Amino acid sequence: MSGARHLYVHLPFCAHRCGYCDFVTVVGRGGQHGAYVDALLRELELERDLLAETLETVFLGGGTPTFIELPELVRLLEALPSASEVTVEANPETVTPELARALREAGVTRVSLGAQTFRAELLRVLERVAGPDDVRRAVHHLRDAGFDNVSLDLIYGIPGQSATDLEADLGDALALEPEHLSCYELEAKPGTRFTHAWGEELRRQADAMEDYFERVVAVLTGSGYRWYETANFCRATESGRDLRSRHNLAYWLGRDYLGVGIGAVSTIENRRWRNTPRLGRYLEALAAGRAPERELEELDGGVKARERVMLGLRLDEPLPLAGLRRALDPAGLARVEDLGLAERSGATLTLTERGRYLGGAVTAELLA
Amino acid sequence: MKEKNAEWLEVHNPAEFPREVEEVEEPYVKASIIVPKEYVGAVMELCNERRGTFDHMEYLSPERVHLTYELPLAEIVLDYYDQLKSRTRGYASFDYDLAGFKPGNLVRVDVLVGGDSVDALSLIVHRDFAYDRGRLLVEKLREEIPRQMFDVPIQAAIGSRVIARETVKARRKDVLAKCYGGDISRKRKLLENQKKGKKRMKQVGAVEVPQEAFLAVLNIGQGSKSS
Repeated sequence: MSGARHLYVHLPFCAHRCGYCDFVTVVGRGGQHGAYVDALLRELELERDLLAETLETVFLGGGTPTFIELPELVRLLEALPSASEVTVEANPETVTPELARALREAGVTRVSLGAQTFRAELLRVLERVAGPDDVRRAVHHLRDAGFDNVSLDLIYGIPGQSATDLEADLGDALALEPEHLSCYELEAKPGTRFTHAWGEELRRQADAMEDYFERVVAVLTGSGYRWYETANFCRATESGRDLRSRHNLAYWLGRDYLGVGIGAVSTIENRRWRNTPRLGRYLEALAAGRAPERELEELDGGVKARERVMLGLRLDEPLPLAGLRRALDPAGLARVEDLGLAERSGATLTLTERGRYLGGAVTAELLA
Repeated sequence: MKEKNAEWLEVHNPAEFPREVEEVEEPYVKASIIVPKEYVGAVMELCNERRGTFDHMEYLSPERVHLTYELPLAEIVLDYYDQLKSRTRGYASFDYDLAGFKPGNLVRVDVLVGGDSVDALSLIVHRDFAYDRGRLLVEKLREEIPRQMFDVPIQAAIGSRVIARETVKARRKDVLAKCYGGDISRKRKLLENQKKGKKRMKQVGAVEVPQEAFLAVLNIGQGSKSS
């Protein structure tokens, strides 16, 4: 075993918890940012043997990684192992010229901006701190600092969002010429404040918004982007430069990864574990030199194979079926082929365009 | 139920009902209902809706009336008693005896889901009610059958003649929006559960029909306009 080549670092701090968010986040706590960075580095030290000599990707996600004090963020970045792709997630309002330069100097190669929407009233529904101009400004600061790989996150299906709003959002995003776009349908997750406030409205508008996913795909592929994963698009370049998120690609290809920080998940061979989501417990354990409390899951061969099917079918590339037969239901496979939702060629399986819009249902149908 | 082709044939469920019949007889009951006099009108109305034939009425006391009717058995097996109770505020008492067979203008209504005939959903009904019941049944089924990955036509037909039609429109999207390292286990479980749900459904051709949909045939109300 040569070790995992992908590292995820969770930075949970945020200025405000958005109503729809169900990630592990912590509001404020300025005083604890330094201690948290110490704890992350200590956890990484404890798990160093699980990582390969050289890493392909490092991903700092949140929370809002750029919310912590800049010197702390820089200290963290400089202490992390280097990798050919280093991504940092950022909220637009946190991106100043200084931050952009500091990230660049600390070896960050890619920034993923949580734009979500360019409509001020919809940003308010999402309780986002940034305004539409913050997104544009952030992209310009990043470009000025030399970033040539910027991703924007967009959310569609926001309560009150019309088809015209959606088209306008896509147009505004494209105008910034991002290398990469992630477009998510808003999920009203059970238990969030957002679902409590907007669940009813979302159910009412579900029919009207049913074709938003198709519109997103049509507009972006029509503008020269590659729909390489269910919710992810990258600019197709003439030079052949691959602008897919290599870190996320590692998840979808079933590679091993180490995650550090509260609530972070790691998958190494047949084991998956999740760190405690509780900040106090996490800091306490690592201050004492112990690994944090973890929830462990054993992944047997069947589970691994089912995950390979589920994740692999999210991609636009054919899924090699070698070793996955036992995860598949032959009758389900025949049905989705008959319905024109998937195509088998040789020893691979590819979803058709319509199959990709129905990817969840198709996968459920295919699983043994 | 009896059917005459060359010989009489006893039919116990709609699937056995032949396509071509010369004559049909159905079982009847003699119903005996005792009710306060102010509800006599309501009881008569219900019995008439159910193809009943008035037989006899007597006053057991100045307040209580005994009514007898002949009714097709098919008209009382479902929800007749509930209707009787609800239209008389619970005051009616009801008893019946089987009273032999009588000719009836009965037809078999088939239900086709995605083009396939589903025996468990067919009905034998009086020709006068066939259109209404067929329409109610396909409407109910449209609500009960979840949207699939393709359009599903639901038809009610007498022989080859379609008398009602609804369509369950195909879903246009069904994806898990996000899937990253932190939520692979949760997303996998969601899909595994979705698969289990599919296995619980009954497969009619390519269409997944939930068990509840089969109860629709019982819930369309035997000719009651009020339900």
